Amino acid sequence: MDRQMNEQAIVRRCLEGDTESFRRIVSDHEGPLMAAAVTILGNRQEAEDLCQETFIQAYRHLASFDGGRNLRAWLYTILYRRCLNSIRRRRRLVGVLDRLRAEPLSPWVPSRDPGPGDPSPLPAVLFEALNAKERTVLSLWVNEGFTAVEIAAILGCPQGTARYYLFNIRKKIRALAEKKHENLPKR
Amino acid sequence: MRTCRSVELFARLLPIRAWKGDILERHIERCPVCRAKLAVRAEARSFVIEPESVSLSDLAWPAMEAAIRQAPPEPVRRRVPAKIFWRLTAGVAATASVVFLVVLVSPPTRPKSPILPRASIEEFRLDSVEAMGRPARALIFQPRDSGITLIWVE
Repeated sequence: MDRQMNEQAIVRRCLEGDTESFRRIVSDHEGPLMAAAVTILGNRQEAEDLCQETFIQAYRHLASFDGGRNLRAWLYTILYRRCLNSIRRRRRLVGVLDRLRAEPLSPWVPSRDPGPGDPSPLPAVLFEALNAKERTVLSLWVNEGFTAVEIAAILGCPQGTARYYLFNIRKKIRALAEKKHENLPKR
Repeated sequence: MRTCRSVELFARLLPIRAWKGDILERHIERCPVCRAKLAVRAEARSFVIEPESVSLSDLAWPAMEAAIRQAPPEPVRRRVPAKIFWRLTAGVAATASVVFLVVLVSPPTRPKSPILPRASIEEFRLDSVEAMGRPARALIFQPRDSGITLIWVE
């Protein structure tokens, strides 16, 4: 309740033109949003661009933010849509380039070589096993501890669908974890 | 075990994801064997980026600040939510299709017959006509669509 009132006060100040309050929103939520974006996209640079765009879009539409809602969940909704659009654009681009070139381009895969300051890379198998929607659900479920109901609100899908995604993800992750465990060097 | 497999197979055959999710959830709540096959949050942690390990670069805020100074928050626009808009549109389209189909399927209506309904003809019966104590000839007129009947006796 306190958190909600605090958020409402910060949002009100932002609407009055206080950019410092908005900076606080950015610093409070940048980590979780970046984590979700990197998990969805697999690319730090693209994730950072989309997070910035998400914050700017959120600022512009702050007046329409429903004070009764969780601000972070609202930000996740914007980020999720932006990520999906970016992935669709990328797919279209790969398709066009494939048609232009005689030899087809390899499909996009997340960058495996981390740059300076990059988080530890995600296992490439994750991108083969889970699609973008499932990776979003995974990130929200693990990092935020969101339930299927909260995830459904962010994804804009029925609760049963979010439950189905969670079921599949948990099953696939268990399989990946077991595989990872088997591949560990034995002493 | 067999029941678990059948439940999962049945759920996978369903056409709508929400139904699949509801059925699987209900089963998992009651089945410890299936629950044990699903990863828990702690296990999945190594497959996601943790929020503590990432942040925006130092250059991000100046860029964002410049962008938000150029475009302040927009006032709220009262709009029909997309969900309601599409539901209304779908409803109108469905109604229009039903009306169109009914019009298309229904048999063409015949033009109204000038002859009066049978019941009124049966009520009207002349066995004999007399005029001034003598048998007379009767002529019956029924103007089209007038609803009246004229009897001329001579």
